[in-house]
Amino acid sequence: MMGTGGSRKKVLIAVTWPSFVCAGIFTALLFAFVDPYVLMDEIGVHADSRLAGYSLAFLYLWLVGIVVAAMALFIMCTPDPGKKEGNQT
Amino acid sequence: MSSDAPSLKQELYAKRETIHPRAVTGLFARLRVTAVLALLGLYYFIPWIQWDERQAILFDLPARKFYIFGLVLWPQDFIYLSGLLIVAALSLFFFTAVAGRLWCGYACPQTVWTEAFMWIERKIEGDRNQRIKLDKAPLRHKKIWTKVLKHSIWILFSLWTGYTFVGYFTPIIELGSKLLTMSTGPWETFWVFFYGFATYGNAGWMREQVCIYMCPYARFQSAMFDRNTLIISYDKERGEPRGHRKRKADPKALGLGSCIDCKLCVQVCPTGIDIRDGLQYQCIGCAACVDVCDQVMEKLDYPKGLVRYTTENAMEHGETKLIRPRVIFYALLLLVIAGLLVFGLVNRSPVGIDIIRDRNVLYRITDEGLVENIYNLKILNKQEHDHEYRVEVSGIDGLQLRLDKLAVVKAGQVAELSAGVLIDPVLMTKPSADISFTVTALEDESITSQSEARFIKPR
Repeated sequence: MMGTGGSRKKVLIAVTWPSFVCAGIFTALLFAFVDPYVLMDEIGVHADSRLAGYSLAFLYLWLVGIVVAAMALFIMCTPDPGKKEGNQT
Repeated sequence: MSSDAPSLKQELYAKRETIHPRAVTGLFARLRVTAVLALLGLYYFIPWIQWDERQAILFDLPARKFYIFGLVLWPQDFIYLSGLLIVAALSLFFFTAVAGRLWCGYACPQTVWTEAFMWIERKIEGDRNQRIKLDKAPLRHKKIWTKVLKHSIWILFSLWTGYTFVGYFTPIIELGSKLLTMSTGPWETFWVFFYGFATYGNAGWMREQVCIYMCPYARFQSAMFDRNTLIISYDKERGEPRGHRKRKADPKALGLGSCIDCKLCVQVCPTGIDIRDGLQYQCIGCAACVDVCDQVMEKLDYPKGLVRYTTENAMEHGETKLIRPRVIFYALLLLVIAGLLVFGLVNRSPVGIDIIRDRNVLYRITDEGLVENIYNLKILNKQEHDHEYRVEVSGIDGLQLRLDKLAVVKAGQVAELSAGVLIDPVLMTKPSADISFTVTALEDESITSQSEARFIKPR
């Protein structure tokens, strides 16, 4: 899966970019309704500023998105054991 | 799925060759440069505008307030921001249906910053041929110096872009002084560098790959296209058969069309496509090929417009229908949503009230024999100063209200109150009825809001 430099870059794009967009949207949605201080208190994470709360939540959501996208891509690229390689078109 | 695996690989693993677009002049290049300068100017200038001793446009995340000149939006006003995004998306649909990829060619941040980066690159490394030569040259002193200079300017420009971006979310003047004294918070620093890095990577390195591989709009914009949408197209009928010829040669005698196969249209293309191969999703509609082809046609004394803005219908039947159901639908939808947004903003109440019935008890009977329903009131003060509100209840004659505390709400805050509503059961004929809660600011009767709730008594 991780072949040439170009392929690595494109896999990186496919995994990081959609998850980045989703993380941005969900962070905006989440904090439209929840104050980051309240959220951080609830989950027991110390945040000394709201900016830290926004940032941590965004990075966390991005990480989750990256894992999901990587799994999806991995499943897409897994060959079907029922077919011989030579038969693939 | 497995049978598609090799083709998937093919798509993901297409090898990229560096594209060195040739500089272009002409009408559309001038339009693009104007758009780029205007948009970059707005981006870098807007955070510095002051309004009422504060930043005019500030999405103040630390304070959870959004300032847009005189308007202050709170997180509770998220609906207006969503509305603004819907209006932006619908405008994009509308303009795409009418004029194709105007957004991509002239206004998309990727185009705008790539143009700026390419301008810096041209000033340092020269035009297309010099850049190709430089890239092929061995890594010697001149090449190293040129590349270091280019990347240093790119990085500085990117960091300034990152600083400006963060300046939309945290006051830019304060941020600037903090940066100068190296006392910015860790997250502010992180986002300046993160956005700077993203700008440097996208406009400096990725360029057309962002449009081809990352942009979802590039993939779905064809859904908004029809045969009357403005596209950039090569007039195959006029241009083919293409071929080289002497300047004064008669193409008809040579059996040739107007295309001299100079490949300049390919060389100026920022995404490196050949427009003569037909409409392609990689085409961002920048019209660089139109400009350069017109110049070639002019030199040869051929009519301009071999590559031009046109529509599929115009190419085939010579006419384009601008007003059509798709355009009307997008325009109407845009007008309705934009109208609702403006109406909502104009009539936006500076106070909001949410009522939630107590989930534990439907009603209770007091010692005095009255029926009591309990509600939780959430009062939102959307103004920039504190208010004390009067809370009233109406809907059934004889209602009494008991609040657990004064309805004092700080600026931009939400206060929660418990409200007991009581009534003598004989005054109520039905087992349930609608009641209304009204909050009114004590010092300004015009600041008021109302919300409905249900009152229940035993059958």
